[in-house]
Amino acid sequence: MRKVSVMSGSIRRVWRLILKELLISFGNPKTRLVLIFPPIMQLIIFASAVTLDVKNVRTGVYNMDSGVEAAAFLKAFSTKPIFKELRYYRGHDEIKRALENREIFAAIIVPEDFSQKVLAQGETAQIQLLLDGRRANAANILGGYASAIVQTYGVDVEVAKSGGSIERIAPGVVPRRWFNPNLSAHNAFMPCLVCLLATTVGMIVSSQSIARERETGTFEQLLVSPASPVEIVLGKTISAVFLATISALMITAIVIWGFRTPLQGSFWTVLATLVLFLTSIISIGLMISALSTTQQQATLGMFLFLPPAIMLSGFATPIENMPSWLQTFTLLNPVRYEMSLMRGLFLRDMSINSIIPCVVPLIIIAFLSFSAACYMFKRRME
Amino acid sequence: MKRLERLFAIVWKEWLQVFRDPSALLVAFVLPAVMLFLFGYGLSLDATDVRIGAALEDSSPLARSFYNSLDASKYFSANYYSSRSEAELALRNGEIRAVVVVPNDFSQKVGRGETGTIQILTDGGETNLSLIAENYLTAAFAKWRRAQLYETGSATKSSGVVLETKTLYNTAQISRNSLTPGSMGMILAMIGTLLTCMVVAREWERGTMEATLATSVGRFELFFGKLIPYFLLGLVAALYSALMTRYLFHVPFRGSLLAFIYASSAFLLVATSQGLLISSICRDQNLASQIALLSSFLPNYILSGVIFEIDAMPQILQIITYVFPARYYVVCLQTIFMAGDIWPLLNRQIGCIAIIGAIFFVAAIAKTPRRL
Repeated sequence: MRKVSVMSGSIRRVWRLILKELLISFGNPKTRLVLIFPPIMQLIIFASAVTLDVKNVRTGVYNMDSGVEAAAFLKAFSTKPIFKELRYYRGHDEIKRALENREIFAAIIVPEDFSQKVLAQGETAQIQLLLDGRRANAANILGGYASAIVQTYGVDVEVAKSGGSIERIAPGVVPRRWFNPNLSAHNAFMPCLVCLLATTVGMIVSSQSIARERETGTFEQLLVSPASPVEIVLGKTISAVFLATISALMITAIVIWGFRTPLQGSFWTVLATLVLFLTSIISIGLMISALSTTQQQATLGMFLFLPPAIMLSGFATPIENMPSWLQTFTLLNPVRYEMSLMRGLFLRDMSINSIIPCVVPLIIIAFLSFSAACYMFKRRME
Repeated sequence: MKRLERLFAIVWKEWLQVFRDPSALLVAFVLPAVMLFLFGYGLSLDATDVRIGAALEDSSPLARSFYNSLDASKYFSANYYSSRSEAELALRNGEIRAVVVVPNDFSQKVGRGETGTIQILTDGGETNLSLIAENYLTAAFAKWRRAQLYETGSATKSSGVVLETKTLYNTAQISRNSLTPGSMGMILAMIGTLLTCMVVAREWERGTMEATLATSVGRFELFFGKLIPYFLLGLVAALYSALMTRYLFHVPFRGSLLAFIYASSAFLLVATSQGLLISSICRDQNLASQIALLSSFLPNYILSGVIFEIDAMPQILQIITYVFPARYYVVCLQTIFMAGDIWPLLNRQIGCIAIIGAIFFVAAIAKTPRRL
């Protein structure tokens, strides 16, 4: 009998603490704004920014050959949407300077004897392509596109030369992309943006909360309240998860219905993993907050955690490109798991067997950081 | 003269505070080092050692010879699967990134003189990797096929036109060489803002602002007095980040130290005044830190052109990126590191930073309080 009343007393205290936290957050119009507008604005802006595609590349041409063949060859380039415009230059120095000054990203140089070699038997015409290595990935992708264009053109030349005596080597390749047939950057990255923005919101609602109480002096009031450290941290966690979930739900809704991102898995699974993920992020945030004596230190902790957690989550650069010691290190990163869950749930209906390996680490991280937050909070109180 | 004295007094006071509260030193010396260390190793778009699977439904010597030609690349390692379903399962589980299927009628068709067709399956969720794997496999197949046909005399040895590609400044197209200076730019953008985002709000919250305002100190002295110490800290952070980039990550440094300091000073003045502006507007540390985080991390990460190409973004978004000084600083860093001192380009970028800086300066000074 007594045990029950202890339980219910505890629940009542936690409930009161939750109400207090929510009142503080909702009572402050600035905080309300921070939770609603920045995520929506960032979502809208980033939605069309996150693409690893290469498009609209400004390309320079130095054509030393006045023949018809050279013009025909350049036409094969200018009709591709990846090249925005071909700018013509006269002279090596001129085109090199344009490349240096980033006026163009790539330069095609057609040698004097191009047309002649295209027409002559047994000769191979050469084209030079200069790329700006300051943007290495774009150079890599553009180089791939250019060599495919030249390859196709070269085969045509060969067939024409032989007068039809040799066969056309068609690529004979049927590519099929699972889950995202058009390799749409939108479909691939929108789920990741949900995760990214949820992480930021989770950190914002939690990392200052204890440090602020200490600095503004309300910490002492908590000390004299009947609530135990665990109850106080629990109250803070639940209210922060509640707030962050509302913000994350709003983002998810805009992604699904506003941007029409296809969702293959179930909405409820997405929601459930978001709540679990936010719990682990918020526990980490509270841990940072309990560790710091001033808000400035808490901010520092937030900056120390958040950027690496997001950059090393496999969002834009794959985890498998990292050195193996760093790959092991990312196993501690909750964002990594949520990132693959979001990708998996949106793009393909992830099976329960592949969900569990992502969910279990999230639970462990949430549990450990919650315990750590309670422990540190308790030590602060003494 | 009096003004200079007062300015110096404020600088000295801030300087003492920096050394007595270790958190500012942590921001300037530890945070950039940790982040640059992690990002330098962690950010890479180079697909090295991509695991692909080859499902040979046709086990004839012809199909085998194609499979063997795949194995020779240093970027890809091929696993052998005897059936399509086995390989598809491995792709689904993420063990491999792409599957090339050689169908069971492959050698028959090739024997009849038709074009044998192979199939490539990739995980479209990984757009970059899908594209790279497809390009690689298509090229490998074309090359193998040409060699085959050349042996039977029905093709020339090489195509009619060949492309000779030369990547300037980065011959091996190592993505780390551009990503590490780029992340250095992002990190310094964050550090600059973070260093100053609390300094005014903190004084308001603790009530020491009243004490400062009761003295004869003016707006300019207060603003620059708060700016200079953190600007200098930022500059030190920039210098040792450059050392790390050069000696730990082996990115070549082809420009001059002068150009580097010039560009970094311009950029850090803007980044620190951005923090001061936030701090003066908020007068509340909690809110100031939230806005600093929101305005300096994700926008700089996504819109500075380090990872996502600005050219590929829609027009409206390209215009939005013009207001982020990190965009120009990243170009400066990539140029100074990889290409050298290309002054026309650097001056243009630094000019843009200066314009944004002037706007921030005016706004931040206007927001610096003179009276209670």
